[in-house]
Amino acid sequence: MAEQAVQPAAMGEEAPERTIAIDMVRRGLIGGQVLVGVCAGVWGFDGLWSSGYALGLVLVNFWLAASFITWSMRISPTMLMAGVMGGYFIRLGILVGAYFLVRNTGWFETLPFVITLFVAYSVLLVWETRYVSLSLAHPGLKPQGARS
Amino acid sequence: MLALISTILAQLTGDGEAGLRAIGAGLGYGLAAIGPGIGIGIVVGNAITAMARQPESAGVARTTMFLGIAFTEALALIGFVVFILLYSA
Repeated sequence: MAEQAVQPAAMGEEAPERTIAIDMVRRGLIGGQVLVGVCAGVWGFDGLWSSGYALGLVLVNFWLAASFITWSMRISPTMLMAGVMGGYFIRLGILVGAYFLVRNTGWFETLPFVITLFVAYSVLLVWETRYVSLSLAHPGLKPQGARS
Repeated sequence: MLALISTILAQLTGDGEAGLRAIGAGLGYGLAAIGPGIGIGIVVGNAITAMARQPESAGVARTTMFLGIAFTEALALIGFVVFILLYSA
């Protein structure tokens, strides 16, 4: 009964988490350049590649999280639980796998990788939360460009 | 148990300290992933309840749920960062 009530409303509009994730990726690609630039300035080309790699992982992580939710929500709210938890483990596995894939390569530097991973994730999240909170509290002030 | 694993790893790696470090990193990451797992379960469970009670506000519930999941996962990310720092030390 609950599933029947939720389904039409959930499928009627574009998936909000996908909109948020796309917005985060867009902001990350713009703002992340500063972080990658700082790492390149301190650690040179190794820092540049390591930081860029970490930034890419963060953005893929957000995009995958939204994709898993959207995909499972299309099936049923019950599937949402399995989709989110499965997606969580898969994304943790991807992070670990991505680290072990490159840790012995010549260009990999641990510190810029770790710093970019944590800072990019935190800043993007806080930035987006601030934007979403403002949009939810004052929908009329939402920028036209963000509507899709 | 830890001592046994440490001894086995020390035999394999030929370095007792490296074995202990590997155990610490693995344990730390594993423990750090438990909390966010529980938190995500609570967030999604409550979001499903909210969507079932008020289907017209499903969009807001999903938006809040997605951000809640991302915030909860930040804890797992901290665990991953600690894992890397311990493992590569």
